[in-house]
Amino acid sequence: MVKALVLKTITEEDIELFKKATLTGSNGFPLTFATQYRELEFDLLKEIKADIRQLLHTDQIYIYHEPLKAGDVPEITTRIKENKEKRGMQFVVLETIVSSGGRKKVTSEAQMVIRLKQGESE
Amino acid sequence: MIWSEGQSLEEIKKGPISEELLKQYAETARDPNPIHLDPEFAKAAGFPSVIAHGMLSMAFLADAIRLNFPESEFKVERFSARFRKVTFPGSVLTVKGKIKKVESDSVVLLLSIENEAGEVTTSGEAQVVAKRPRPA
Repeated sequence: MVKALVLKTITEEDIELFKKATLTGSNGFPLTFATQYRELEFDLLKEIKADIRQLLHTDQIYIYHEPLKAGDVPEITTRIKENKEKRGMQFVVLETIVSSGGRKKVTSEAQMVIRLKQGESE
Repeated sequence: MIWSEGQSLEEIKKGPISEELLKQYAETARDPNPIHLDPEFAKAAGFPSVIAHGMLSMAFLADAIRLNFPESEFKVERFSARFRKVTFPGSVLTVKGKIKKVESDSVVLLLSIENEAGEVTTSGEAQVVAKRPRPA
């Protein structure tokens, strides 16, 4: 399952708004700015019928390939990298790659745990 | 600056975390999960109130990295976080860090966030590399 989307150009104003909303005091491009490009993850979670009330985001990894910056036009591709059930829990890993101009900028991996209701697990 | 293993980074405080901040963050980060915004939804999920976004905590860790290792001099190659305990509105958080490992031009950082009770809510790790070779 893979989804892709092209988003609007990153502006200096977007960066400042993100810094304000994260109480960021340091200079430079925020390291977690790409979190706003996770919207396809929510679409994929809906497609696998994950109950978001039972969902916990347990781990997040970023691998930075090239700096993301103002003026970049983010192209995002998201896929379910892993989806397995164990002891009444569903473990899902969603991978999002953010590129711009065809160059890979950031790879993001979000690990989710979903508590399954009785009867939903294998 | 000479780096050494075990060296602590300067602590920073964040908060109190307000519900207004969570709304602002949800909008800016485009996170539609109502567990961060809707008290009734949060109660149905088993929490006494809305909870803060794990990714907001990760942004606090990121700020600690950049305050100590500015973008003009250092690039971050990899950054990870584990969300261990939920954070509720009203919390004041302390962001801590120390150097786990030193290599020629890079360091591995261990990061954490503690709540007022001293519980670790978030832990993290980052690989930071100097953009210019450091003098021997």
